[in-house]
Amino acid sequence: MRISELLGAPVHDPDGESVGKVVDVRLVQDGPLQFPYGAALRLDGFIVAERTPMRLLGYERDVRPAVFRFLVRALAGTVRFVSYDEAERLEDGSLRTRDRRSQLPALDDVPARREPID
Amino acid sequence: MTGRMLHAQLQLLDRQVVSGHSRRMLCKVDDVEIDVTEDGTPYVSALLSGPAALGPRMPGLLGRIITSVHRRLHTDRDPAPNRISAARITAIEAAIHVDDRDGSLPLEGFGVWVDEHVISKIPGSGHADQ
Repeated sequence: MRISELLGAPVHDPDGESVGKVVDVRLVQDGPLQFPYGAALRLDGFIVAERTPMRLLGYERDVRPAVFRFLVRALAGTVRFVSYDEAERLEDGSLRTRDRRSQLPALDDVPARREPID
Repeated sequence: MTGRMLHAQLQLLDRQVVSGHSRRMLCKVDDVEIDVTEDGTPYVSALLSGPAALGPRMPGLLGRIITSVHRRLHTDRDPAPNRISAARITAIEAAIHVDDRDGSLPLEGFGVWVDEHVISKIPGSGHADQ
């Protein structure tokens, strides 16, 4: 599987309601060990924008300048995070979430960093 | 650096890959390969580069042109992208640093093709260092 196959993929909830499209893929460095770099980058989940399948250029996060952030959010709509474990990849390349759209967390509500695994 | 978080599109795709040893620019990250472990954990297994990785990523006619021209010029019937194992990554900063000390990275780019098929056929090209 390639990252490019995931970017732009439509995402639906179990009721068939559209959640948006995948605009980025979040990776966390706590996967299987790959020397010399250390732990591999594990695919943690998908960042899904409600409206425009555009590159968010990092402005979906709380970064400045605020005017760019405002514009990106206005164009993209609600940006949600869908965990890899909570999504199922269908044969047509789209994703189906286990939770309903209203239950999916907004990206802002998901911690930006995780504590290192012991 | 365990636990570090990255966004693939923002921090990996289209980034410059440089040699961690000589700082030489090697290629760009045109795509990222994801593999799945036996227990079902998906992880980044390789960085992909070259027209065979970039072409399918590009939308519409542009992507088809890149893919078909590359296939036409390549000696293989169905050329695979250049693949850098993720185990070779030594650092991810503004650029991606990889370990290429043994010189075995498969990065046969367009430059090599031009060198073999165009430059080497120009009379006197064999004495370029003189």
